[in-house]
Amino acid sequence: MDYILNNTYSITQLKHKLSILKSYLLQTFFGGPQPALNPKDEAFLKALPESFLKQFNAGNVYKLFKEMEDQINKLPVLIIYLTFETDDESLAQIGQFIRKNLSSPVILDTKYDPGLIAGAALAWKGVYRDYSLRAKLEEKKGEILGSFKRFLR
Amino acid sequence: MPNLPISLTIILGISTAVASLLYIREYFLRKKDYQEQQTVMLQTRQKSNQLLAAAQMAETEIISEGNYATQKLLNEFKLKLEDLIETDQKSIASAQDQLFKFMDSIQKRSVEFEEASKQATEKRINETFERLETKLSDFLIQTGQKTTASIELELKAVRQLIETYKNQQLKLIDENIIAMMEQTLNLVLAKKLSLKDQLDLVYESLEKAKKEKFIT
Repeated sequence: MDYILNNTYSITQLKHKLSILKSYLLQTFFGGPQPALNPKDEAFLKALPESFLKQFNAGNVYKLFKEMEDQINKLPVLIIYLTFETDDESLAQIGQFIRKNLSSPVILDTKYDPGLIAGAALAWKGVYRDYSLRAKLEEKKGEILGSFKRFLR
Repeated sequence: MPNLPISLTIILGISTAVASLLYIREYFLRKKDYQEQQTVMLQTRQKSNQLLAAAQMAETEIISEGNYATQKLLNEFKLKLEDLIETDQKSIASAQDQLFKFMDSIQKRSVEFEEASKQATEKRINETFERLETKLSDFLIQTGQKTTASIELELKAVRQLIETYKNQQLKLIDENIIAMMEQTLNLVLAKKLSLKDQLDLVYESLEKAKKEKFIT
């Protein structure tokens, strides 16, 4: 599981990689059409160590995937609201920053909210907190209004 | 002439004699009465004359006395009348004087009254003017005060209205300015912020969340 989680930061990426791995293994064990893979997916599969792949066989593949899916469902998900659409690179930077600064491993669920202006808002264990520029503006609303009022009056 | 018995002739003679006697007697009686009557008449006439003379005398006396008395009375009356006239003249003169004095007095009083009336009227007019002036002044002051108060009230109301409007506008600004700023910043920063800047702000948010121990 750690092999998969390595360099995987979002729940979407994780599910996608699991899906690729599952398709690959099922095709390997049971035959069938080869799934179309992009270079990143191929790189992901090639990066997996042999020892990790050897634990799968035709008899336990479904069971192991079920266990992995259960583990994934149990992973703490940090929903992060961003003001820009993330790509793999930016997501990796954010994910690395989080993993570097947080003790517990978390998986990100990114959501796009341009209303935040800049920065990010977070939802953790069902609690939402806004740390974006919008929240800062809201915090400083009194001061800003005071400045405006001084200017207006 | 026939012959008549003697007796008859005697009787006739006697009767004639008696009748002549009676006649004479009556004649004399009547004569006497007449004389007596004449005497009485004379006496009466004399007495009457006397009386008349006396009466005339008395009349004369009376008349003379009357004339005298009348004259006296006239004189007295004249004197009295003169006195009376004199007295009356004096009285009239006095009355006239008094009347003149009274008229003078009346005139003086009239003048005084007129003067007093004039002064009183002037005083009353002056007082009335003073009162009017005072009342007018009070009225003007009150009107001024009322006007000032009214203007102040109006100004206060206008100021309040302006303040209300201002507050409403400021409230609108309060309500919308942040949203406007947010929208402006959103539009500007979305275009101007680089990915690195965006990521730096995300890191800042994450660090803050960590610092607040929202995430660990």
